Amino acid sequence: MQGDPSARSAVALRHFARPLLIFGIACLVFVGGRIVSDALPSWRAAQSLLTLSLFVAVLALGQGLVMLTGGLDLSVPGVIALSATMTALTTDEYGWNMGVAIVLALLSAAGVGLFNGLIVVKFDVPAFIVTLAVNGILVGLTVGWTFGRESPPAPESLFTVFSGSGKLGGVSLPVFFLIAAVIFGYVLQMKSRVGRETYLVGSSPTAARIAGRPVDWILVGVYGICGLGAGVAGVMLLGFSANAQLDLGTEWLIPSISAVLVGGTIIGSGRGDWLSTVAAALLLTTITVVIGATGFSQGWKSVLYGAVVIVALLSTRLSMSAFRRRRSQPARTA
Amino acid sequence: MTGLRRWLGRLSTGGTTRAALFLLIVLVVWDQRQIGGLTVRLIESYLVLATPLIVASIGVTLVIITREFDLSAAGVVTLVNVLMATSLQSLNPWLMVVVFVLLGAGIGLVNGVLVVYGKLPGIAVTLATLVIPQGLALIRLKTPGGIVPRTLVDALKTHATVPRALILILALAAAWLVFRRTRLGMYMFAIGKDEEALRLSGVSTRAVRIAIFSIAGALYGFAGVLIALTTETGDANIGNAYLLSTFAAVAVGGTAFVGGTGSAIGSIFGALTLVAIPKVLFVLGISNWMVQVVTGIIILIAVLLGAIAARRAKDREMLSAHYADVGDDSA
Repeated sequence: MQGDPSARSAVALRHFARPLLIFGIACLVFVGGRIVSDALPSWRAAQSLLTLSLFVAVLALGQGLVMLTGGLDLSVPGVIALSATMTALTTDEYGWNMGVAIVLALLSAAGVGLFNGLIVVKFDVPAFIVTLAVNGILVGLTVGWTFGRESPPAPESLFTVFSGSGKLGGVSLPVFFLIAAVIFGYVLQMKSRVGRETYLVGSSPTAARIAGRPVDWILVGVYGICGLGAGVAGVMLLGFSANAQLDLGTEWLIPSISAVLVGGTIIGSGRGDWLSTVAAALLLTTITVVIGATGFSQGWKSVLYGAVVIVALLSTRLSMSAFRRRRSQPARTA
Repeated sequence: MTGLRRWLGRLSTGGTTRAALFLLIVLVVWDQRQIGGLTVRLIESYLVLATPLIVASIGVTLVIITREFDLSAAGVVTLVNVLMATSLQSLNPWLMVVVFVLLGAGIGLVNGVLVVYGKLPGIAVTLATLVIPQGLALIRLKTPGGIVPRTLVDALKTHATVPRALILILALAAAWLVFRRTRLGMYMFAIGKDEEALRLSGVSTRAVRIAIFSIAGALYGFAGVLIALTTETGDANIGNAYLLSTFAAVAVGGTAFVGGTGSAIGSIFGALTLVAIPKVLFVLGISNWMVQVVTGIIILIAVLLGAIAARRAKDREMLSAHYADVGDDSA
């Protein structure tokens, strides 16, 4: 079936049609924002939109890999809080070098991810409940650690880079980070061995096992990457919001999972592509920005997110069943 | 002697027995350290406080038995809680309860239809039906407030010889014991164990799965009503805690997340344990932030114990070719 040339060109078409379609909708929403606010669309708004998208995209990369393999990582807010607090506290309170602090924060974030992965793989338990429990533990520990202190401030340079005040050629720095993240994500998920192994394990762990792939270690690694991604996002968000608040990560969990779903990744099916996820991250962020401009209740954001996710799930399913015969048995998820 | 050994065997594999024992330990510690011990009043208010979580986690249990996941509980609970405090105030209070339970069932029906006919992963669908009701609740009520019908609050909280909450909990346990022997209940377990086999035997597994999602939704709706009655207010942010605690109650209750096994009675014990933990840690003089850490660790341990027990049960099952019991091995 894959050898059929027409099928292959259909694959290629679908490969780029979906991200372009989602990106097109995002642009339409952005331009349509004019209806609700005179400040839209503008270069200024576009820059802040791209900055917000950076955080969603960074989180969606690791989350997307986890979801390809049938898991879901809900420890993201806790990891973000941990990494942001670690960076801020060690530089502000203990006077550490920023580079050392960030490396240490990222290592701990990756460590949490690896721990999640080990538990999920070795005991064969649902990822979302393990990571939900780990999230509670991390948030609790971070509260305990910062107890009695104000939310520690971000190092000056980190604030300059990620708050958007720092510019290069008139473009705020996070935009360059977004471009770098998109390219990195593309190479990692679509071109590298890590990505290939993840897809293989996601579409059929049994086949991967028969092919002699170290399935367990690939899975653990994927959770490690997700933890690391959340750690990176934590450092970025610390710079963005200037203080290491404890709830720094809470509002970014749902957008990042939604971006992966809207991007057409079906949990546990080994199907999904990175560019669609990025386009979906842009779309969801645009919706957030436009709703913010209307002055409507933030509740509308959740409602629209949910609706977009359902529509995207259904359209993914429709395009899939039109393309491929249904699998006789749906994959066990999460 | 053999009785003791069998009992010990059940302790390692029977989730419900384990959950009951754990609850007992937690309650004994609480009783010992609480100044003046556990009084009737204290137990009464504790039971009232636990009812919403109990009802919601029974709903989650049903879905997990069918080998699916349902994150929407927190969303439905929040929405109903807010609506209870803000809407339909002119209606007969009891009718109001019926309406909101049906609303929950409706959301559960949507979940079921999307999962079954859309062939979509439950965790993805219910993520959407988690955030949509939460958003609606926030739109309806920005800051906590509203009024909850007094008649209903009194019905749950009035001091009586036998606490109303206890009657409710016992009724739920009894309903479970009946339900799991009904046809639908047995199909529910069979779907979790081997859906294909049940389908081949001519049962409409789609209808069963949708029915279970709907029943779970109705229970979430009822849990939302109960939250409104216990807190006597509406709060659009109340559900966030429920995402963790419903699954925690199921895990501590000894239901393994493998499908085909589980017990609502275990989840009742689990929910009671989770509500007691903060109180016990408080009387032990442990800081507030440790509550989250301890709860998280307890959930992890419970999930791992459940997984180990489930694996052992599966090995046993493979050894015995004549294993025919569709139900759980406890409760």
